[in-house]
Amino acid sequence: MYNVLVYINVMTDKIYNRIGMLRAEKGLSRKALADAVAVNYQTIGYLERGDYNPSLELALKLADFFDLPVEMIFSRRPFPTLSEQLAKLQQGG
Amino acid sequence: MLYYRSTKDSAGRRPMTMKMLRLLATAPLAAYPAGCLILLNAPADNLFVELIGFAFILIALLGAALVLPSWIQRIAGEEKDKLDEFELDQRRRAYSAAYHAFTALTLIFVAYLGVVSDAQEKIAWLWAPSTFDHWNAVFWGVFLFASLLPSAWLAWTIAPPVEEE
Repeated sequence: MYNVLVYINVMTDKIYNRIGMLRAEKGLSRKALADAVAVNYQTIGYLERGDYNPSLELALKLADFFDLPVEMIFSRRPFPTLSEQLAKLQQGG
Repeated sequence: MLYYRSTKDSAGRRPMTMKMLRLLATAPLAAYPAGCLILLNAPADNLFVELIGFAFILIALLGAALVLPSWIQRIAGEEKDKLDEFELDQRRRAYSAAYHAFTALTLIFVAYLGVVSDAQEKIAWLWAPSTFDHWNAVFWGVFLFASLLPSAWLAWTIAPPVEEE
């Protein structure tokens, strides 16, 4: 029942993101990233877990922070995993 | 704005598990009306049944007192400028759901009062609040439901928080 209720609460289309990977790459805690974009650290956790789709403002703030285009961080389709990307590179793709 | 008893932790107190939060936010909504009904129907001078009724009401108050400083009540009741966009989004959803539940309960109660005022002469056992104690219980029940419905909704719909590394 709980899962159904959570689903009702987040029924919007899922937006995939690379926030967790980018944060790890910079060696930042959720708290540090949250402070940098002025949100609660739990919100970063919910974003990373895909439980929440950010507003355009927050998406742009995150893009600014990571100095990347917003579409490199957020996508409507799942991002390829690192192993998939490496395999593609190996095949000369 | 709903009441939120703020704590030193600006993100709200978080020692409780989600299961406990769900129980504490939901139990008062059942325990308070149950306690009032037991007290209303208690045989005259039956102290034991009255104590059971008061125990239910005490459970409701205890549950509410423990939920008030929690992080879900923070989302429901904290000042707007102290919440971020995720929390405001959750609050909007919780208020919307609570509003619908509250108006439905109010409509049912008003419809019931309408039926009672028409039919009480024919069906004597139909009850309607008439004394100060009855209306006092209704008042605090409305207060409790208005305060806890958004938190109860949040407790059941929000995903468990992620712990800081």
